[in-house]
Amino acid sequence: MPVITAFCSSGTGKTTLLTHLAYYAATNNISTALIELDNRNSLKRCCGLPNSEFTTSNIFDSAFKGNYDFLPLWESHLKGKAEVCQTNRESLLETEKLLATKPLGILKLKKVLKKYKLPHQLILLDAPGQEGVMSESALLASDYVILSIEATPKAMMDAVRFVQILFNYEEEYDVAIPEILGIVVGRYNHESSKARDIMEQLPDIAEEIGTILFSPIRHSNEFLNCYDLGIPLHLYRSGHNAIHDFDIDGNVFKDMSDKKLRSLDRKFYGSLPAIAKTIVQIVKHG
Amino acid sequence: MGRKKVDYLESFSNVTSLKKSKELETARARIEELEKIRQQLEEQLKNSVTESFFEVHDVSLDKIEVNPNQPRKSFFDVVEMRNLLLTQGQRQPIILVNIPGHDKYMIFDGERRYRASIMLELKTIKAFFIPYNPDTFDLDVLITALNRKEINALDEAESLIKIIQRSLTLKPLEIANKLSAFISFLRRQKKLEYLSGLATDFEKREFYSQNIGFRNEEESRICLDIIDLGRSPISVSSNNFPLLKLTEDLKIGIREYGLNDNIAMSLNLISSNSKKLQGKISESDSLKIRQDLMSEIIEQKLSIRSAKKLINQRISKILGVETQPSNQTFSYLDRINIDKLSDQERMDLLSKLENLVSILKN
Ligand SMILES: Nc1ncnc2c1ncn2[C@@H]1O[C@H](COP(=O)(O)OP(=O)(O)O)[C@@H](O)[C@H]1O
Ligand SMILES: [Mg+2]
Repeated sequence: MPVITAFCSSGTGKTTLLTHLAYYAATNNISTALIELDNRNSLKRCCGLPNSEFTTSNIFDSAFKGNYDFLPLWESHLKGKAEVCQTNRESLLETEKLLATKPLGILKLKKVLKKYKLPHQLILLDAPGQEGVMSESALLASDYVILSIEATPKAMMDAVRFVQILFNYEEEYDVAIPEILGIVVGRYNHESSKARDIMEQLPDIAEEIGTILFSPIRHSNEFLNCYDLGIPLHLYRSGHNAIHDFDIDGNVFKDMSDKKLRSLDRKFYGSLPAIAKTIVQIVKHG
Repeated sequence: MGRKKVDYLESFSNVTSLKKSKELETARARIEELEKIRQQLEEQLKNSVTESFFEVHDVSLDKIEVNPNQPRKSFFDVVEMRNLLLTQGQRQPIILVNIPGHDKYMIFDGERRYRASIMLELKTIKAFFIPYNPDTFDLDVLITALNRKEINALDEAESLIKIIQRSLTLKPLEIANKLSAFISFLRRQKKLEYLSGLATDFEKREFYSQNIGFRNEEESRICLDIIDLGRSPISVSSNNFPLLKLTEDLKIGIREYGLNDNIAMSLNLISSNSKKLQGKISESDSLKIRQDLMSEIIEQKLSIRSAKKLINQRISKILGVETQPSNQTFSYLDRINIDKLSDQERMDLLSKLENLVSILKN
């Protein structure tokens, strides 16, 4: 049961990515847990969650003995195959403060998840975008990290910083770091020349940091709309093309005319692996 | 239009280069560690200490498999080993690893002794076991082979190439050409001493590597890999890498029949691709000539000098010129002004002369 998290700056679409991964995995018969570590509690909105008694802070509590009590996610569709643990802003802020005072506080989550194993086949950690105890906890507790970026200069520089932090951990503290599963560009707008410039450089960057590039998730207002309604795009607009950014390799680029592709190499970009499909394969076949 | 693009790759490289240099350090440390183990082993054998922490086992020969990636490819001298085993018994245990999932033990070091034991129809062989580390096994085997003196110059060249190819995606000849281009560059810059300094003077290594003037990552990678394996780039470039250009039949000659490298290089001139003979002979004809000459040289155990003479005569014959009786007076030796030579040039000259002397003695 791999633990996977997504990383990079706020607003790049990490939460959107992870909730859609949870949906996709669950419909592929993979039991999935989605744990929120961001005190902004965006899952409440985009997953349409009710208030809950049990929140992420409980997992960090010294009284915690493995009595997880998650909420079902989109139950009428997923029939309990996916579950979610949301945060509560106040209590998580408390937890963060407490962890920050402990020397190895950021290893607590890793330890708890190891000691009290969740029964799920896939565990997704939704971490906040800025540096801090929660994002570091997520990182150290994960087997894989998805480098979830946006094709903007700011997000790129954040990504550099992130890779630096990751490598630093390994070097300075000699702790095991997650494997970078790949780079996913969220909110990708092919019309923007800046975004295309960055897309063009990403294969080399991926190689440089020893990972691969996934097919991007396009920018679409429908993602904004369904986010506000608390449902995944699959349930909001079942026929929408952007859904296939999760399940069809190279989807965004696949049927683009050469003119539109500009200098991007069709063979390469048209076959970039789809992130969700890849994760399902990892869970099913290791 | 001239829209300015930001180069993000560079920012990422700055971050990863740090990690890479760390990895290299670990690799070097690993080499040193291995060297220590090897020395310990040798030490133990010399003193035949009884309470060694490596226990020697008698392992049944049919429980042993050879390593398909063994860098040493020539075993023509197995017969000598057999004789040695017969007269002296097995003095040095071979080294085996137990790879999970294999039903036989794989040879880490000692394939020649193993083959000789089979020839002698022995049932068991003395062996040590070392732990199997899948990440470093191939490299360790290469390094161990390189550290044996009996490895021939061709297998040595190929092992070095394999190790260099772990960090560079270049073809063997590309690596050889890059190294020789770099050495000519240093020669032109009168900086060749820096390279020998880098290879020999460990204390001032930092200084040399900063000032030598590597023109790119590839040049420094190739040189440093070679140096880290205890070899001199200059000598590798002139003695080992040229062998990579040999035709297949000559490589077989070196590996299977112990053909001398120097003679092999001369024989390599007889080829439809060589500068001299291009267009004058077909490849199938030249193959035949090479093989005739090779068997003659090996069977009659010709010295390097006689062999080269024979080869040159043959080339002249192909070219249709009679060989002039040589009339060299070597007066140019008198013209060399030794005082004016740099240290490196003196060293070069000395090694050339030593070479000549050994050829003459033959
Ligand atoms: N592919 C997309 N297209 C358009 N809007 C998106 C897309 N992905 C995310 N968004 C929007 O961007 C905002 C931030 O997304 P979110 O997933 O919460 O990012 P993060 O978790 O990285 O902060 C949300 O309003 C979300 O609806
Ligand atoms: Mg988020």
